[in-house]
Amino acid sequence: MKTVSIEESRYSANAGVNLRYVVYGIISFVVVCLLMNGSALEKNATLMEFGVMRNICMTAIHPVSVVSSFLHIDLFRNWIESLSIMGG
Amino acid sequence: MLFPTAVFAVFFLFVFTGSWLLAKQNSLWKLWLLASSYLFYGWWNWRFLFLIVACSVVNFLIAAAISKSSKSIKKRILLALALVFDLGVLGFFKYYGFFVMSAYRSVYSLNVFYDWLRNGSFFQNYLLALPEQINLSCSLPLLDVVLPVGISFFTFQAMSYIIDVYRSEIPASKSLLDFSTYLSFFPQLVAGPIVRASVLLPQFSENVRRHNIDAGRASTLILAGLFKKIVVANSISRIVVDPVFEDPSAYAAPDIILGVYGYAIQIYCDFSAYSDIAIGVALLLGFRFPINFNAPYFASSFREFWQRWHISLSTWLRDYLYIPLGGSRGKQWHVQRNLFITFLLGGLWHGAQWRFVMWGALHGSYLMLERLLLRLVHIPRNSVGDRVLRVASGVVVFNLVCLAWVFFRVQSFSDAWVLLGQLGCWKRGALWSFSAVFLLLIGFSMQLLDGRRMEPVWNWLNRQSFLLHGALVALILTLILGFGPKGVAPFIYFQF
Repeated sequence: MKTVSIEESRYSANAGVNLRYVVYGIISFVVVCLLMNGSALEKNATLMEFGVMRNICMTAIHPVSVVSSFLHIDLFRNWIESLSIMGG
Repeated sequence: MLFPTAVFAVFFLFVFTGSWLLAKQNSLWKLWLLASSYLFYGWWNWRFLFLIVACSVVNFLIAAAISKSSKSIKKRILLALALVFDLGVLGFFKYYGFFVMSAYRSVYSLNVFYDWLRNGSFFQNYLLALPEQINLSCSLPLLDVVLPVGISFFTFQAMSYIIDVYRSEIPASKSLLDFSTYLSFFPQLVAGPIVRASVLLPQFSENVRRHNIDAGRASTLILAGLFKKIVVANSISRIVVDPVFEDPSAYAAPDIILGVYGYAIQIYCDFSAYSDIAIGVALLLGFRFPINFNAPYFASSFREFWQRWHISLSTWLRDYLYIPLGGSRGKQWHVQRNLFITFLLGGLWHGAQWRFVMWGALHGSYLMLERLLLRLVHIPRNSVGDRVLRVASGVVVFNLVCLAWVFFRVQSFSDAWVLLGQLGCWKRGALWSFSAVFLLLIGFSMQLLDGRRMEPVWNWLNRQSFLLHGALVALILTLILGFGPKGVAPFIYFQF
């Protein structure tokens, strides 16, 4: 069967990454992102309307927030917010 | 479900995981993408899912009938049927109230004028007249219609598909699943880019290589989009634009100028951010969309501006409106007329209000004048005079584009006149600050990231280990979230 190629020229020069590595990259991104923003996410979740959605978010985020605070990784986000001209 | 929110992040992780697991089973993979797109759209209002499903089914069936038909007249009737359906849907949901109110105002004005001619008591009657007094005692047939999100985008995609099939430029899709996924594909569903069927439909084929993901380009585009939206557009809106446009009479010329320039930067950063994130998200799922912006404010002519701003819409208008009207063929007057009509309707596409028509009319007029001027002035290319003229005309183009944005942003024409009138009032500006000017400069310079200018960064990111790549993206995202203001304003183009 003929293969349809809609790739741009740079793809033929192996510019992309195998899908499997993208999955690993996204996992790495999610872990680092949650650790850096755990406390901020929990703070945002507390501002949500009371209800099932808030409870789910709080339950899911709390352990991440605890780890983030324990490792002091959340301090980076707090520091950035203190520098922001818009107040974070 | 807005792109820069935690809800979308969770949704996308869910979609991406499913897409990865089903990547080798083409039908299930497409079904997964369709279900995800419907969930994304139904998040706003599940009732509108019926609308997009109806749009998909009707256009799919008519396109199939067009491709099977051998008679030209039958093809034309089917094309007309599809266009009436698509424009009918768009007209009912988006323009019904606008046309009813415009008709009412026209009749009202005619009655007042007639009354004035008869009695000579224009002011008394005009100011005090009520609908009952001018024989319009019946209540207006206005309906409380909610505008479905992204309706202008998916109806335009459906129309381009039908017209392309009619012109035999693409074959009709053989699969309703493929076509429905194309029409509702979530990254571009709400605010574009308007991706043509000829570009996107073949990408659903199982014969297309889609396991080589340009993750470097995707992450750069998503981060650039988030930065433009969260840090630049939202901040400029709060610091400069909203105060000026909410009460222009309270500000003097320096602030008005800052507000108008601010809006030009805000709308660029806001809309190009959406396009960038859409292109990046699609790339991660294995799709390639065409670019929608290419440093528009660096344009040295209006023609060039429209080759760089909202490229998917301007090329749509060119291919399906301007060229069928006659395009650049024929007499000069006809070309000018075609340009003006195209931009007038392009303005109306943005919203059912006269201020958008005015915005389109201004751009149409600019292009007409530019065309006339270019016929009169001949300067040798690449000469010193040419270079000086290009810089000077770039400044003029940018300022006239900003003038047109005034009508795009104001709530009413009276606000626009007040705002422009305040340009004569010179005193010290209250909104000028280091942070405001700095944000404007940052926003303007974001155009340097458009197009393929960041290609070395994409390639560098692709060469890094996946762990470092992921961590680096997370770090930059944290910086963006930390620097941006709290809360996320909707994208400006969501209203269209």
